[in-house]
Amino acid sequence: MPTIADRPTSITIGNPVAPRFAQDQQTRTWAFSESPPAAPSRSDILRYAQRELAGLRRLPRGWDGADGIPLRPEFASMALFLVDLVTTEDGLATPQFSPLPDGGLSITWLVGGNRLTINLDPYGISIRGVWREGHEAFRFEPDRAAFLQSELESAINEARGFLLKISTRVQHQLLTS
Amino acid sequence: MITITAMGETKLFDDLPSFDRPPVVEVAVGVHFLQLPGLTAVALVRLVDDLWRSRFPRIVEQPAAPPLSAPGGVLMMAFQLQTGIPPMRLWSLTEDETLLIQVQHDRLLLNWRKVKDDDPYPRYKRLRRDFAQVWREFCDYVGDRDYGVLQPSVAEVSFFNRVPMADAAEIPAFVEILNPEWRIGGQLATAYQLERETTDLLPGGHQNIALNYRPENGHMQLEISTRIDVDTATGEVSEVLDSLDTAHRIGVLTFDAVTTESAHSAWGRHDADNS
Repeated sequence: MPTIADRPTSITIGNPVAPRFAQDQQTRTWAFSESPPAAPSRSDILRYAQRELAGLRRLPRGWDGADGIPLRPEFASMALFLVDLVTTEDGLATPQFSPLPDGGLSITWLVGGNRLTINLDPYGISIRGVWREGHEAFRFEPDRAAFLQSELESAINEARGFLLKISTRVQHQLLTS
Repeated sequence: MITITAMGETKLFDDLPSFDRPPVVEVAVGVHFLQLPGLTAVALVRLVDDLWRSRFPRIVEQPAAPPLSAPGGVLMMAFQLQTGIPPMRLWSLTEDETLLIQVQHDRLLLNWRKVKDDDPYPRYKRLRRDFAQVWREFCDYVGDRDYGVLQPSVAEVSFFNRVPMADAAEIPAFVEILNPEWRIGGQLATAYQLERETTDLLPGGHQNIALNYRPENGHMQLEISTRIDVDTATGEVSEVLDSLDTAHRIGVLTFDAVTTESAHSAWGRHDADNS
């Protein structure tokens, strides 16, 4: 049985009510459907992420059976910013959030074995995309105090592109439903 | 000792120093919370109009203030990378512009500002009471709508003091933390900033002390901003006000500690009744 982090993440949020307006960048399509679309909108994903992060902020001290502290507010805030930045359109995969004992967290998008992971902790940030075969698509693991905004921007652009690619199936479900 | 009674009403501040003529020109009290995805620009406009139009009729748009900082400044970098519609902050002001509500997707602040020279500082107890009302109204409003989960993170009390002076050499007469014996010729401008963790009272937090003097302004500005973590287990109104009281307490004690006895005399310092 897969762990929570290994479950497909695109079915986490309840289906939005149809009919709805689906805008896929250049193409506008009124999507009237007998059955609601399977994938969540961008707004749904942000609300879901905010709910999850609020829950992690309320973890009791020692939640891990040791000295684990709740998710720190600046990491919760940053995680939501990053999900906002990476989720560029409707129908993409939904992230999962795993707290770390030091008040940081790991954000994971998992679709069909392909995995996008962002780690935030007191030592910094890392962003990594891995294809299902285990090949690394990209990696951003900077030295804590020595990276440029342009490097972070580049990594976020990589993450956006990777999430779009691995969410293709999810997107397809939205557009054809 | 601070005693909290029903509804978070603060009963005693008796052990805090007080000043008859404090040099304070602005005070901000408020709460930071996890950003609410649904509190968009449109929602903000509706919120301030629905809740505060009668008491705070003047509305001014402002760019959003930056988020709480994270280690390494990564959050600030990410904040600058936003590509969608940038978040907005709204000011709602009273007619006389002495009171101001600042609201954006991750914070709610109430500011008092000295508009006329003879405007008295209304004192923390009054600001706390007014903020408690505004915060309750905000909580109820957000709770009735699908904006997201209101999860308070930090309570803030910031004091902005202005001390008239003609020369930077006068600063040590007012600020204890600078050695009164220290002198250097040709000093045109002075800036001093200190950031520290507050671990003397629980819950913990951060404090920023900033001093700035420029001769063209004719005064020294001394800012003391204290941010205290809100109990994450509940985030109830009373918890928020408890953290606000702690931030106020540390802020007052810090002001007392960093300023000189001669300045205290000029400002009418006494040991009790800071309510």
